[in-house]
Amino acid sequence: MSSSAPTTVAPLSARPIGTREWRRFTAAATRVAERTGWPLFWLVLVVVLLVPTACFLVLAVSPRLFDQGSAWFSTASFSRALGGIAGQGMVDSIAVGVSAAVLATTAATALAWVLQRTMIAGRRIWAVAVWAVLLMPSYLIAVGWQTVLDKGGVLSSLGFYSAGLRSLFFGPVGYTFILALKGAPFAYFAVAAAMAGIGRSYEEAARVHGASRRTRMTTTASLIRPALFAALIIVFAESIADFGTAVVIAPNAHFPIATYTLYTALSSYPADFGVAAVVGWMLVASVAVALVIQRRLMARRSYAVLGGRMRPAVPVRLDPLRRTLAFAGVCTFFLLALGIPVLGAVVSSLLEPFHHLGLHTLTVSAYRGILSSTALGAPIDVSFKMALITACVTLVLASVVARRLAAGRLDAVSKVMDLTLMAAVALPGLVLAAGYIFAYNLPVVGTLGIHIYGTLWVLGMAYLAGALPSTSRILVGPMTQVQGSLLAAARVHGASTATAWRKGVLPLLAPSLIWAWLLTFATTFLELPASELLSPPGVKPISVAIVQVLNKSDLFRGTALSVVALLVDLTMIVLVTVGFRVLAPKGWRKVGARVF
Amino acid sequence: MLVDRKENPITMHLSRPRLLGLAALTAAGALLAACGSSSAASQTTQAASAAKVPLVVYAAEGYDQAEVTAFQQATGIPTKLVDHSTGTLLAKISAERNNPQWGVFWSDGAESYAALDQEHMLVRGFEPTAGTLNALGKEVVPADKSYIPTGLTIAAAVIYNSDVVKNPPTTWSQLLEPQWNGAVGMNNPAISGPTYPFVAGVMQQLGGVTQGEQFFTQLKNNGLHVYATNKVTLTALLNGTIKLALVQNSAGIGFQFKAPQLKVAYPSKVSLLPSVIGIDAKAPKQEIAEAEQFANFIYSAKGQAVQLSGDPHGDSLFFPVVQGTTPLPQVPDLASLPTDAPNPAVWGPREASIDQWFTNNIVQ
Repeated sequence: MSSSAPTTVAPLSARPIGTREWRRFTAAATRVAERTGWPLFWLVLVVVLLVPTACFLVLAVSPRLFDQGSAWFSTASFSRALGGIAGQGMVDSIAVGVSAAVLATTAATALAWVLQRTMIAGRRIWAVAVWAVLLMPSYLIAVGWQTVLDKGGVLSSLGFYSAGLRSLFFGPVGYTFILALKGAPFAYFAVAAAMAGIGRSYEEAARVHGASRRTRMTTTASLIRPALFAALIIVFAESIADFGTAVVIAPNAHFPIATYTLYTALSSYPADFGVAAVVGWMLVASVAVALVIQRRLMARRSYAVLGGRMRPAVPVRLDPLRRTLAFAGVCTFFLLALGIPVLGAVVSSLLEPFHHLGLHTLTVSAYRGILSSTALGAPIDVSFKMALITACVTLVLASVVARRLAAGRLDAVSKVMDLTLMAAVALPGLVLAAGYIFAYNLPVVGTLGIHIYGTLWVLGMAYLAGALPSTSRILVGPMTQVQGSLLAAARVHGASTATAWRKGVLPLLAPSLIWAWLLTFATTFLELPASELLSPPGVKPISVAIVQVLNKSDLFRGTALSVVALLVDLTMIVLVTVGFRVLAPKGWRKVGARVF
Repeated sequence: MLVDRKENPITMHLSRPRLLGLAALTAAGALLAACGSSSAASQTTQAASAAKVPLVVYAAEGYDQAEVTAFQQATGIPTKLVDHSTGTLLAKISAERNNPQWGVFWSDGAESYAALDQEHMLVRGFEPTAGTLNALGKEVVPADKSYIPTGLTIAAAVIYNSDVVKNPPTTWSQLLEPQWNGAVGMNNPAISGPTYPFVAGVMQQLGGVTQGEQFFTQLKNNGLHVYATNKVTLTALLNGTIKLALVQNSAGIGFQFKAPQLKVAYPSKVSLLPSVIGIDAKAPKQEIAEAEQFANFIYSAKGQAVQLSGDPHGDSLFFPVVQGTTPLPQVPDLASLPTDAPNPAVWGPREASIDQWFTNNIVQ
């Protein structure tokens, strides 16, 4: 019994029942939540996402609305943008976005299969390594590779410098490669949860009917199709909005990229918000097209597989050859995504400034200087607290969004929500942050009694706006697989909606929810654009402190600070994952055993 | 935390359709406003009871934190620093244009200030009295006194590795020679604040924008490398990707502390790059008074000492503009250098279009 139904939900009627008062209270609370929940949710979505995004995008046609020009209505921004290189930049961005999405999803699916469905050595270490890749800012991955490939870099010091390889890196190939590495964890989290959630009954059924290995794989692949689409779209949207890679590679590649065009439009005085808004429109439109394609491909099918009687798949023990190949493949992936960038980052943080690599030129003085500095305590403290709060709020809202988006055919309202969220993913953080300035620094806002600009409230809202879309997309895959019958069965047994969710669904989704929480925490902790534009005067988040060190001292001290910040992130992740293994109920742990 | 610090006259002049449109877009924020407004009210009360209001300083100087701390200690005025790159601060100022949140803006390059002045965003006619400008300083004060010089550097000088290059170029046109093919690197003026004055200076010396564009196009055809900032360009110089780095001279001198093989050459002619302070014309009177006090503090002996010690391997390596202040020993004698000063009133309004042209045609 224990092996066949470890996650079976016990009959709710058998559970201890609380006092009558408690039941009355929960029933009343449920009624209030059901009546006010959706309006409140929509209000938050409008305030946090819709208003700032709309304020920025409307600048493309009405610059005067925000004192950015004299015309109430003008298409001049479109002429300026499309007459320059923005058009070419957009085409390039879409091309590399699609390529990176396909590459990342392919690699992540293979990785997820190996880690979730086989007995590969060091599975849990690899699972943590995926988090480490996710935590690496794309800027740091690009700089790490640059440090390795550049003249005077690691390869050069070892006598393996290749001008051809360097030239390949500073071009479309290198750009796509870095984006795919950065996107792979997003794809992995979408696919791995789905793969872990597919019970072995489907494979067994196929095997009983005489299906070949290939057919069984096809069966599995079709069951995780929602997760695959979610992975493709999230990586595509993240890739076309990425700026960290663009700023390292684009200037040297003579390769126009939309985000770089947008950044340069905002950096001069007066900043050309009109051109930036047009680029924003194009990014949003490209994601909208991708979403439409996804909807058409997914229409009229159900992918619900997570149920109360789901039996986890038994990991396959591969034969020696396949085991070796799988291990080599996993090692190669992490070498490219983590090993080389970390090597580059660590080398540049240990290498004495302006010296070539050698044992006698390595020093820990940068780390000593950072750890002895008292000025970094406040930045780490403020970022830690903001990340904690943002992660908790985001998790609640993203779960609601994901459940709604996962509910088969979407109504018009849900489609608007889906588009809004994906638009926010596709818009670079810089745009969203600027949108917050336009929306909440307007004099008229002050006259309405709203005084939140220049406070931590706006910064927190911007963090939430940045985290909610991608976290929601990550959760759509697992939510799609939760069978509606689970909730129905719980309700039939007398459970309230909240109890049905808490006791029937939460155990199945707990690993994915914890992933999502950690994802939000990690990305918020190191978030830069909103931190730069929206931090109250005198408040300095850790990402801003890192940039200041990078700008005002040697590269190695700034890189060392990045490494320290990543270690703080990683420590949090280890604590949470260990906490889950130790503290979570047994059933939860069994479901999550493949994850943590 | 900063809250709505200013009564902005723009609010009173909003037309009805605009007001309605903006109100519709922002009305949804009312719920969260409740949380913010209570704290705002208490802070406003506190501000009213105190004579001193918070002074917000937007700055992109290496010594800004030290200067702000010293100013607050000396005057007791609560001073809050927003310290980012010039590009980020300009984007923030642009976006906040209809309700400015800054009191003082302090960065390198007067061109942006000239553009801000043309939009009536700067206080005019103010000169600090705590110190007297030297001849160099007087040269860069605008006629309407809308911004205040605090020092000078060179944009750009030629930084080279003396182990590799024995005879650096002495004029800008020599950069087009075959021997420098693929060997020259510079920053993108659209991202690096101090680089636009260099581009403007070269264009002015060559006779105008058209001639300047031809020069940079030829430089591109000769294999010009373009990077984001001084640090990145100098790192490319040190790892041998390029042989000549066209960057701000203070950055080059700063790198010499750790890489003595680097040398700084000054081709004829190099552009003077003033670091300047502007005061927000839309700030409340009290904050404007405090901002003027801040400028005076910088001109004082104590302020000058902080400016010289706040970033000794970077921005502190400047040519002083206040009489009686001696530059750091690593800074060369400015009288020996062939200098030029592009007129910010002419080149400031052209910044956005030239930066855009540079990005479209040289970077890409």
